[in-house]
Amino acid sequence: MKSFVGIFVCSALFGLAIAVAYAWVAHGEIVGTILLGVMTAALAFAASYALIAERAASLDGDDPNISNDRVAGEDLGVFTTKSRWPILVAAGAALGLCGLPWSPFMTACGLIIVVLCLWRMGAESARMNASTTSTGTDR
Amino acid sequence: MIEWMTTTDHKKIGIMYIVTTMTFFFIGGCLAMLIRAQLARPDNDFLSAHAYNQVFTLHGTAMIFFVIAPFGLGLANFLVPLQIGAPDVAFPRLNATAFWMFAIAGIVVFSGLAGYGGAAATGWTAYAPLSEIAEGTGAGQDLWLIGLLLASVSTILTAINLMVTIFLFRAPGMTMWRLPIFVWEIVATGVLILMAFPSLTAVLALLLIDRHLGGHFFDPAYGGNAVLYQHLFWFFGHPEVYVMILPYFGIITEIVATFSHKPVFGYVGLVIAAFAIAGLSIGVWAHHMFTTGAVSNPFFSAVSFLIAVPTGVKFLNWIGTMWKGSITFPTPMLFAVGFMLNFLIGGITGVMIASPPIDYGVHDSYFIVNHFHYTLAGGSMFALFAALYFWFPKMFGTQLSDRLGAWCFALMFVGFNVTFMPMAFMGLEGMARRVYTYPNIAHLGLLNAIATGGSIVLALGVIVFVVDVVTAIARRIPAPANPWHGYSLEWATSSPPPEFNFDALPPIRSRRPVWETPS
Amino acid sequence: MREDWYVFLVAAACVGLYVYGCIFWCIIAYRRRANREPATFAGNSRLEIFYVALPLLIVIGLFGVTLAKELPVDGVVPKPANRIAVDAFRWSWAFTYPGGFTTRGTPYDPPTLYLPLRRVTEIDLTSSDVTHSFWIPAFLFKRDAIPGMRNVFDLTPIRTGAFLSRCAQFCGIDHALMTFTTRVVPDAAYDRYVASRGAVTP
Repeated sequence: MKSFVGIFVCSALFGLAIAVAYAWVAHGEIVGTILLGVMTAALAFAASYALIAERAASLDGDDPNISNDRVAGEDLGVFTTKSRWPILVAAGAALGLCGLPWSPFMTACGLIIVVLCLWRMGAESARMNASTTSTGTDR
Repeated sequence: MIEWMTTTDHKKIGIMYIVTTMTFFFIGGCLAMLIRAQLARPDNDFLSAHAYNQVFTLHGTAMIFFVIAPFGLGLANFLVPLQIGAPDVAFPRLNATAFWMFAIAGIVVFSGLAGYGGAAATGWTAYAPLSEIAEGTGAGQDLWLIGLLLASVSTILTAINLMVTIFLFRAPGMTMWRLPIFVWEIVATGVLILMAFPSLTAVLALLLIDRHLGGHFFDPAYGGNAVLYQHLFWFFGHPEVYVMILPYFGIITEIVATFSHKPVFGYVGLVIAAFAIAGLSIGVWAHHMFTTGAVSNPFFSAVSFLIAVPTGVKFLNWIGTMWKGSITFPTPMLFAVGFMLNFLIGGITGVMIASPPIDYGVHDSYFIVNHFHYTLAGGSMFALFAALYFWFPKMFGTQLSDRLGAWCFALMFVGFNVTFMPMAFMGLEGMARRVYTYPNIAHLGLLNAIATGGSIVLALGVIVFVVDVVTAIARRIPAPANPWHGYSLEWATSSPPPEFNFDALPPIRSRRPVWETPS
Repeated sequence: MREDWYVFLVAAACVGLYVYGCIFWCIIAYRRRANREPATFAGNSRLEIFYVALPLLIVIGLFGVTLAKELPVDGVVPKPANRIAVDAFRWSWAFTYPGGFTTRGTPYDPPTLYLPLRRVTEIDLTSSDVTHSFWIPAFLFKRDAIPGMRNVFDLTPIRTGAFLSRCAQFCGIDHALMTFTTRVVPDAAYDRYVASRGAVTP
């Protein structure tokens, strides 16, 4: 079993164990039981997804005897070197959250900025993946 | 300037994290000096009560949310792709987004100082119902809330990014069981962040609703429950302290192994211990609530005692790594040894307060302040400085001075212990936490004066560090690719590394790819 | 309660000295020397299992000591000889004695809690506003005063005296001033105090 599947499956089983132990020892104290239960459910979801997805996967990184020659020059996909959207998304998120206590208008503006920037980020990805160069900037 | 604001290069982002967290470290440190100045003698009036309450709130918030935790993640940002042989993290733009959210969050929290009523003043834990009363803090408490919401989202995004990178982007031959321990600790930290931070986001959101949108979640007058806040907060809060120590355990492991010139002892044990600590830490949150009378003390006491076991395993593995090694003591190793000496004390006091009858006597006293400073400051902070000295050449291409580093360590080690050891006794003599002044009874005046003196020495040590950094950058003596004869992949590339990290990777056949490759 | 502390302190000292000893041994004995190569071992399964087992035994022992002490400390007798209701508020305390009279303090004039020597006093603790904590350092004991919740516990003082006590849970501006004095007095003096509704102070 690949390690990441093992980590999530063991975590889910551990979560189950501790949630049950807590519910028993604390006589079903509601807050803790729900917190641990929800956490276990989330881990179980991740674990089952990992188990199912892992069936057909194989990674070069997991082969202990692979030689570098075999994989030299492989295409790892496109990595950006710079993009203007991250800082704008962050600013939009901050603006949106700042509006929550005082100004729904500010929150709406923030949300719009985040959505717009994420949209442009997606367009940037599409352009990068379509082109043959390995770095991308949004124009 | 624009280049830094738009970069998605994990190395630059890692450096920005480190610069930002060190800035907050200096701010938090100045706040700590204000605390020590006010507490230097009984019945002092250097700071008013309200000013003092803001100072300790911001000190705790800064150090926890904006220094120790993000430094670990920022270092991971820089180091993990290098150590696994990847060109960058899995989602570089997400990485940058998370960083900027974090940086803006810090500004938002501290901007409370400028507003009417000042900054948040309810402690870094902001217990409800206290934090629901607008006690003259005006916008400060809300800005604190918003900043932390932003920081919490940022941390979750970074955790996801790092975990995906580690699982999927390892270089050929870099199997999970050949990873440096630091990388494994980041995996455990990532799982912990995913489990714990949503609870923080939830409790902050509920608090915001209570404060501004007519909610009464924590207000018993309307059927709410004050203890609910503590449950939700500590379900996050306890794993958070392990988020603040696991990466630093990784740092110490790397440094001890490098300077003992020996393989890591008990590698598999260290990995299992990391996950055991992470897992158990999810089940101990209410040991912060022993005195509420509202939780199952035996359950939380038992699991809290259990956590000592994997932590002990780690300690003994570090000793095993040093055993029969050939140890040299440049500055990073000095800080690593200091970490071990300090963290042991923190761990021991932790085992003591895992016992509710003992906790009843010392909870919310300076004994607890002693405990968490020995683990977080004597532990994580020392490991932070160890990391800075160790990876500075790799990040900036120039080395810090070993001589100034030794002075920095000596001043910090002595200063730290003189500051915080008296606090155990202050707590036993009845001095409570979060008090702007205290009466002149027992030995409190003397102990506090000693602590303040120690803090000045500690501050001097930090100043020496600043001098070291400034002179190193001014002199710019180029550093070699592997100045410490390290064994992990980051030492197989130049200092600093080129864009996309590696011009060519060495073959990876073991846990020490650089040592076992003929150079 | 103090026996508990001694057990833990002894365990702490043993563990601490052992680990410190190992660390100092390593940094002195294994410093780099020109004529010695470092060892190459990377593990020792039996040793590793041993030092999982030993700490486990130690903490199980400490937990046993804890459980043995906790049950009596938290235990409440069904028919206490004395009952006092304590109400915490920002920033002082109100004590309601048997018979129904209440004494109330201010941050600048802290109240006194009178307790009878060697009698079981049940304290019924709550808060009127935010979470506070009822702490008597000399008794090595505290319990939180939580709004909407009543915390009940027993105090059985074994020494007379005046003991500085205070709120231990941060509750706002005058948290540092939210103190009170716990005065343990002989039985007869306490009964006179209660009977006179606070007029005759011991």
